[in-house]
Amino acid sequence: MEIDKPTIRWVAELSHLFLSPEEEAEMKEQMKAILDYMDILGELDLENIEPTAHTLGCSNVTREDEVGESFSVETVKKIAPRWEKGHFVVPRVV
Amino acid sequence: MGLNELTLFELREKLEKRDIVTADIVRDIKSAVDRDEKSDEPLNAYISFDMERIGKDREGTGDRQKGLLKGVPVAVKDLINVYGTKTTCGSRILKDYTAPYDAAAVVNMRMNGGVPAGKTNMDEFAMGSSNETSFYGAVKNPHNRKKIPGGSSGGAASAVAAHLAVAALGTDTGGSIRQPASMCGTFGIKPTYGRVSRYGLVAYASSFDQIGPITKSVMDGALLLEAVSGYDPKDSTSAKESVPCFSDSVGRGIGGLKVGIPDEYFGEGLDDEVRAIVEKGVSILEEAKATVKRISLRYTKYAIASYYIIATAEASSNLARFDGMRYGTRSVDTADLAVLYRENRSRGFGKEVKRRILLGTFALSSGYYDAYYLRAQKARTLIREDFKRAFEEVDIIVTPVSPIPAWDIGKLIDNPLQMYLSDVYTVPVNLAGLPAASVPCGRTEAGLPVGIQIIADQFNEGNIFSASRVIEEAVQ
Amino acid sequence: MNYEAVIGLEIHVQLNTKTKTFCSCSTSFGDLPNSHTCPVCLGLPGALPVFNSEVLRKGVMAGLALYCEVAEFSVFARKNYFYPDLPKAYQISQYEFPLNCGGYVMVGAKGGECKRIGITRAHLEEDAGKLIHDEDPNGPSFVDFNRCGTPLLEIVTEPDIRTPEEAYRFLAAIKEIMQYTGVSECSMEKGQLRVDVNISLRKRGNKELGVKQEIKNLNSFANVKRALEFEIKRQTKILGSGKRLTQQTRLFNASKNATVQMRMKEEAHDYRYFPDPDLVPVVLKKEEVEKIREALPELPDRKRKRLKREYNLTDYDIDVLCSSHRIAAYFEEAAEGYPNPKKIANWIHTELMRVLNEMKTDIDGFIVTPRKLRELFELVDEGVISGKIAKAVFDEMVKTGETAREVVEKKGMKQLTDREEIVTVVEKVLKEHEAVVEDYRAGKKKAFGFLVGQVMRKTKGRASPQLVNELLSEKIDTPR
Repeated sequence: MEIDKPTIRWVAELSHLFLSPEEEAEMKEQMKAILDYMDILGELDLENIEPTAHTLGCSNVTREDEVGESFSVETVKKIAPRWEKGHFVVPRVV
Repeated sequence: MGLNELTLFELREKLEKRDIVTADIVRDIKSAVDRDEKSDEPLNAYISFDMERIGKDREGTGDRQKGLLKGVPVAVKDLINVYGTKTTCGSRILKDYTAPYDAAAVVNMRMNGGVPAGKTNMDEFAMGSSNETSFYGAVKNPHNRKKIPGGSSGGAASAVAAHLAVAALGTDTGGSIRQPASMCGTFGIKPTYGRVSRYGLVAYASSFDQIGPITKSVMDGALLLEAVSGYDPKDSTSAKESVPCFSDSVGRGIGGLKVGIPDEYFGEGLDDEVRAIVEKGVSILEEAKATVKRISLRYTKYAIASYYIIATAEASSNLARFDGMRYGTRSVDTADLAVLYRENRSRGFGKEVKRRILLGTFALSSGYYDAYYLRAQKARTLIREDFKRAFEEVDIIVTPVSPIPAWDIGKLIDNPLQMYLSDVYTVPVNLAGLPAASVPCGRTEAGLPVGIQIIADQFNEGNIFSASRVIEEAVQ
Repeated sequence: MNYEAVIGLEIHVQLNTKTKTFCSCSTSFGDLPNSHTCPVCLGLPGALPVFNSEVLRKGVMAGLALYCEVAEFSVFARKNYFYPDLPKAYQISQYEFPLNCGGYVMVGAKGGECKRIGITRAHLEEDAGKLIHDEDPNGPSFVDFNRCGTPLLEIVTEPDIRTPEEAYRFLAAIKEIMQYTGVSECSMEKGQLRVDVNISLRKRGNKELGVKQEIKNLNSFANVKRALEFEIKRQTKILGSGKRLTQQTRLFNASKNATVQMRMKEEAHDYRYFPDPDLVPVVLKKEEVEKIREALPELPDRKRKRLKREYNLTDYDIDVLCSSHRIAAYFEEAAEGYPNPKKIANWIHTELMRVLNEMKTDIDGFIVTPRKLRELFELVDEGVISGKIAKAVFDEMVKTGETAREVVEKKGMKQLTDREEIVTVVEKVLKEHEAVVEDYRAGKKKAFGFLVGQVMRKTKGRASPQLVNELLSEKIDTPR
């Protein structure tokens, strides 16, 4: 599987990762080797096979609509890297 | 002999008789940790060992000496939320994250008298097979400090093997309990998927992750596994199965137990010494009146590809939340949103984590989803069915844990594909959601431990404990 | 016009469960910011979602009310993208296997016709947090995660809508249906209903769709209509001059009454949907769906037809009564077995609605129960009180919660039917207004009304109007 630079860049952008040119080159090579290996799955005839999303085969796991405990605002404030006026502070959006 | 050198089982007795208290054990552990730190090549098994926190926890649960564990301190892999402790997942991006809640497994452990004591080192976000990707430095194998301890629960296995911990909780997604247990000469078991709650376990690959014990003995493992297991309504993938008394299976005879040996696990690439040790383990089982037969798990060779595609895909999504905005380390504070994301994540994550995020994102992206992710999920079905068929004929399946014994630190770190391929015997188990353990079975000429893997059908950990004990007894 | 507008709507309805979709934090609105959060809705490392069964029930009810096919098998999928109000950097939504698909809504048009607007799908997903921005444009933004994790039903329509008016009516119909089924109040001010609009123009007769323009930031039904009107004008102008349109996302600016292109750099998205491994599939048996269907209230379009038929009411009456299924229910209970339901219908859309508006209260739990209202009418029919007094009695009933009879007793509002008493008052009035009496006898017929009025005043309105007329007439027309 040929992994070209634009694809690596696109995937890095989607994941919000920055790669230096050296990292990009290294990643490109390593990913190619790995993806080439993954092509082994092409040997299989998977036409009528169902995918496995869960090994337990359960369904309908739910809970009741009853209010439980929430964090106190104090606890949340402690976790936040930046906090102002009761809110998490983030860079301006729009 | 320090209390840290005893087994969990032995310490339990002493605690019950009130010959000792938890603090005594913690003191001895701390001395051992301090001694190791001052040595030439410290094992670096712990990321944090917060005496103050341990003291609080000891007061909270330990001194009451209740449940299965009666106050025994247990080290916990730093991937698991333990209230009030730094929970870094071996990463820089969570350097400043203090867990504001307890994982369900930890709650269970506390209810059983277990005291969380120290957070063990690990491959970053559980991604690795050598414990070399941790931001907090590599962990060493106590049997040979130039060698890897295995990963990703390398810190836990190393600590238990070196008596820097009495017992530990590790996690296993593709072999991360079994392989380091094997390489460090300890017992380690990954339970059936769903046996132990994942609530509070930082997710790497959600459909594979499980918490499990790494201990000095099979009995210790049985006690600790029982102490943390159980249905949890906060985890939608938690199984409603009742938890058996696993310790009852330890010491149970295995006459008539049917053992399967899969051809595909004994082919090319298996080191000769490892092969010999595992074959010896199989004869031990035969001598104990188990019947052994050859079986075939023909889709084994597709397991690595299937596993790594699914695991990296799930991981790429699970790790997207780490951006320094709501918790953890904000290494860069800028007004530009895109820059903030990029900088925090790029500086916060190590190379291996980045690589897996990129792979996973790629496997899920438009145009590649069918060819990679969907195909991998289908291959997974075939591998599951392999095991289903096998367990119609046998009760347990015995294989090597790792194709080669512990390798030199630094040897494979720049060859990720090679590193992935070393997981060949452990990942099929995770794909199928089955329980499996690694039991110490021998040493190589060079003195490196080699474990033998025992796999059972879903929720049949009992068979694993019985067979493991037989091997443990014979090998001692 | 050569061009035809092809409009589709994407509506997010907030379901009114007590707790969030995947955790048990309260969904209560307007509380201290970040006071209803937990590891799950904050997306803390290690947190896991567990599905709220009430969200499922309401999602199915809504789907049935939209005449959708409810899926036997549906799956939650992760929609992956980065934004500060999205803690997990993915939204748990539904993609390949939505809960509901293939429904429709009947929308009334002027002239009584109805148009069928198709619903492509109505699936479940969780809401994100709320972002607010610093007053200083160079300042940061702030996030409140109380809303994060609240259940949403995303309704996507077929591009069947053709005019801004239709879009408006469609939204009103959705709101009504959601209120009827009790799954949401759909208050846009409270953010319980959000709309995004897609519109493209094509030459009439063309089957292909034109270039889609997406419009966001619409905070009222009226603004949806205005935005669409603006868009049609704008696009017609561009196409008319031979230019081409590019696919865009635009924001509606209410003060300018216009849409503007989003200046924010459009992040190219690849949501990489995949089934959420932390959640298991939802499997619904036919019996379970039927049970929920049985619990559905009668839906607006059916109720309208039935009320018209059974009670012989006008379209206007129906519109008011059916504006809320609770008002319709109130009406039906009050009118049950009553020979003149139209009177009650009238009263509801005049006096009752007035009082509700003044008191800013809901008909639910209204102090004057349907029974009590009916009793009021019965008293008038029995002649115990006059029709005029009924309003005063009603106002008193609202104030005190007493029954009509109790009020009448207490305040002595019983209709005065005692002839002798009335005669006494009449004589008094005649004596006091001799001049007016003269006017009347001189031919000024209107003066009679004045005298009647005076009698009514003296009896505090209690005198039976017929008797007053009769007796006054007797006295006044009697030759001296």
